[in-house]
Amino acid sequence: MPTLVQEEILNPQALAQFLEFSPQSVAIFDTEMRYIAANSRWHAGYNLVGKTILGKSHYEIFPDITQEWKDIHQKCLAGAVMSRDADPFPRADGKTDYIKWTARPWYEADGATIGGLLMYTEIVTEQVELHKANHKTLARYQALTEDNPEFVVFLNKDGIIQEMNHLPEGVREQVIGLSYALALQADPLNDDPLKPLSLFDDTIKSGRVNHYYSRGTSQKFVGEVADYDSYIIPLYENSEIVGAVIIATDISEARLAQRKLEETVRELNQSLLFKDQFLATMSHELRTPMNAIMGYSSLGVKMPNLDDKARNMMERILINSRRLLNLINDILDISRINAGRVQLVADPFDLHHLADGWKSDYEQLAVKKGLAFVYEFDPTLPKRISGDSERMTQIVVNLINNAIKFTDTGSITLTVRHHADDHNKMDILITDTGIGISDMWHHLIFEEFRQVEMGSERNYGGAGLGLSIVQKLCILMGGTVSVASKLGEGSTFSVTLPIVHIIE
Amino acid sequence: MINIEMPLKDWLVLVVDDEFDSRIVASMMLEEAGATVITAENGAEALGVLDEQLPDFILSDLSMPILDGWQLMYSISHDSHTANIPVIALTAHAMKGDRERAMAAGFRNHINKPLDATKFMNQLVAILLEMPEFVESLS
Repeated sequence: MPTLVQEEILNPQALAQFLEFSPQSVAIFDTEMRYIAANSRWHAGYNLVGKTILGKSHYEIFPDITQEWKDIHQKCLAGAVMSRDADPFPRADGKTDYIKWTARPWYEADGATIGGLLMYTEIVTEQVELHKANHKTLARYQALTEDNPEFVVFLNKDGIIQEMNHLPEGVREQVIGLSYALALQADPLNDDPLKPLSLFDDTIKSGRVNHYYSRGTSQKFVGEVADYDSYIIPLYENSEIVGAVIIATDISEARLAQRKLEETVRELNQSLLFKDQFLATMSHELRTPMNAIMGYSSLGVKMPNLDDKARNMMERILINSRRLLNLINDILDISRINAGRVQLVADPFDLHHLADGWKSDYEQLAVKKGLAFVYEFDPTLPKRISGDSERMTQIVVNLINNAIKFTDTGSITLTVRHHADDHNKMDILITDTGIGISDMWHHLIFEEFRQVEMGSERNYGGAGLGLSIVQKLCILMGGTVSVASKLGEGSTFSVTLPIVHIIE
Repeated sequence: MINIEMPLKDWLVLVVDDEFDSRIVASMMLEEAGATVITAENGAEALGVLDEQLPDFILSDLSMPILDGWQLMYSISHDSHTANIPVIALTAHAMKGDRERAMAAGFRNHINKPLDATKFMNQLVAILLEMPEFVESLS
């Protein structure tokens, strides 16, 4: 059997040393599992240092040995050769070592009689732990890559693909080891393969993290284009750049949502433009029949030989055509203001003259309704200022008309004065003793198409655009408008506008 | 002094508008003020009228078929026979800047439709008073 042994030279001394210096723990037993020989490594490995074991039974030394081991011993003593690569081996302190072992019989000189058992063991705990750790890292890597929706490509510093996730079955072998540049250029849907390549070069040279957007073949839908948001991050080994990892996120859905949003905004703008044009056209088209109604009725009321009934009807037609015209003008105005198409002029004008004009125009109207008209003008206000006097008049006219409309008894007061806290501003106050506005409506009355519910007693008419126009014009002029009012006691509308002095 | 009752007595006015009612309304208001009115349905017709008669002033709509108010204004101002006739634009476009645009094109002024008899006459007289050639005849 021992064909490789030169029996005449190999003496027991050499054999003993061979045994002793074996890198494994080695023990030789007889058929009764009594120790014939064991090296120091065996002693050390199984806590037997200082104990006499030769001649003693393995079972006497390890009385707690498992039946499993006893069975292994018996099988081997019957001729079997058994081994394990990593057998868990519980220790007294609760830890578990891993053991690689082989058990086999040894034969007498006749080569047929089993003389006992040979045991070779080796503690491989460290290797097992390392393997486990590697396995864990691998699992983590897989979790980070395969289960991650992002695309991860590891490149060495020459730009060769080392590892890549989300590769379909069978493609992997073709891709790993391929130049990333070639992979990019092979994508017919890639918009700019040179961009990531130059950024990759930069990362390798400078260590900078680079970011870019790109388009390429979708990994989800074959043949479709996807948008990617990518980072190139340098990879270090011993503080030296050895490559880079590219992490690409498919942002197609976000992009699609963004494009849809942009499309919606475009359509909205289109419809706003359309609305604007529509209103302009409508206003023109409405004016043509208005011209006939207003023209004939304004001529009709002047006809000398009309009876009272007919004249009264003519007057009602004329008054209502004026209301309709105001409404058309208001709608056109609000649409132009909303479309940002109202441009204020900055012309010099005489404030004193303008305010006097407001008084003379509206005093009559108030008096006609049986109301007193009080006019308070602060003569220390500058005479010549700059601004849009027509639009200022529009603000005041709207507010005075409202005041007269909603007041049945008492007075209308128009006050024009310096603003208390700031001499570079003026206040225009229109105070009435009318029906007033309940607190709960104060914040709403400046909204478009709002007219506070008055109950069914009286309908005041109007589309509720006047105050909205007033507020928008005030804001355009850099001013404000506010209301103070009590239900049943009257209202004060306060307009505060900056005074733009003329530099002469 | 302005004749309050008949501020346009003995005046000849040409009204150009494609809308039947607009022509009648303007004509009636002008006649009320004493004017003699001739009408045309568009710029081309107006130019035909101008070959026969020269009015004291013209009131013209802007958007009309065949030849619109802008083209009419151009023809009038480029013909020495008519270049001195004041033309006032009548329009239903109440857009800011329309007045400036009309003035730049040669119109002497601009009146917005719809016309309200009393307001219209006040406005028209105010416009005519601004024209040196009429100050004498009106006052």
